[in-house]
Amino acid sequence: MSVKKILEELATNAKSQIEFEQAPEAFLSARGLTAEEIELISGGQNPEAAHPSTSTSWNNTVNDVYTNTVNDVYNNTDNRVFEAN
Amino acid sequence: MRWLSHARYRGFTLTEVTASKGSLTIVGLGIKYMSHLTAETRTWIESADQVYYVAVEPFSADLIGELNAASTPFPNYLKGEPRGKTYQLWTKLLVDDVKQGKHVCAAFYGHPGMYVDTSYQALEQLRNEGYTVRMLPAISAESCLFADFGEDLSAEGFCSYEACQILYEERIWDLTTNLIVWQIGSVGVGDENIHSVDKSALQSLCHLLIERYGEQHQVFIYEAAQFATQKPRIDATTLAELVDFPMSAKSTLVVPRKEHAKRRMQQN
Repeated sequence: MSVKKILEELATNAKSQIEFEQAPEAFLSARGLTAEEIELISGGQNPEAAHPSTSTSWNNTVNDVYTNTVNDVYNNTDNRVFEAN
Repeated sequence: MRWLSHARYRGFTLTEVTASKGSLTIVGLGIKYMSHLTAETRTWIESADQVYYVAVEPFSADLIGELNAASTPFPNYLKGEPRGKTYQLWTKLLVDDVKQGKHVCAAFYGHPGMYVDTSYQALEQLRNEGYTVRMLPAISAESCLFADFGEDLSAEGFCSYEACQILYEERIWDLTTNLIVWQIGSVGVGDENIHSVDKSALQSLCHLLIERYGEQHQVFIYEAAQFATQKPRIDATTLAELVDFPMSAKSTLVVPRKEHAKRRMQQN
């Protein structure tokens, strides 16, 4: 299952969200993610791993993993960054 | 996903089902991917003749494309120019399309009515010329903060300012209420380089806050979770250490009223 599909499952299924919160790694690996992908998407709020607005790692690593996983190229590869609102 | 099956308004766009002239609907995507998209926002995205959007991550862009094929991101920030020029460009896109008779949807991350110049520029221009403009409520970073912080920041009143308003506009606020400072990580950055912190502006802001609260006053850097797999970031520091504290353009600063800071730290 792709990262995108997993995020959509978590967004629309409270039971899945509970299952994820109780055992995140088991939840993700059961859906076929690699260790690297699991670390990236369950890594909480590490600014260097999770936040496109702070780090180049979003574009260099996270974005690659996400887009490769969903097998869909994101058009805006131009370091879009935005403030909270 | 089940709710995606509702997409595309039974195969008709709004222009096909209404005879009215063009209109603009301004919506927000919220902060957390998919989770914060409201039912009414979804239907306006699905039904528009043209959708322009700003998304902070690729999934939201994909999702909007799934909901409505006639969607395109707003042009990127103009390099080396004040961000205001980009916002004017975005406004022109919206206004021109509406004047061509299209029902346009403009989608912004977060809340479309909070710190989004384009929303109000387009709203004013089009309403002055007799067009219909709707703005829908959405989940903002502040909404997330109130949900995540663990205590009611509004219980004793609170003040909320964008960081530049405090730094450049000599604001006076009530120190006995909680203070929320938006976009502290990009204070002083006026062009497209939002990811680069302006240390000198941040230093000035910190000095200003230290004058009022003292160096050891506890404050919090907050960042809402962007995905369902993440937790929000709520990190404590002091005003003395704030200038070197990790933060991003997504960071919001919470300055508890003086008597309040210690109590929260003890709870943690």
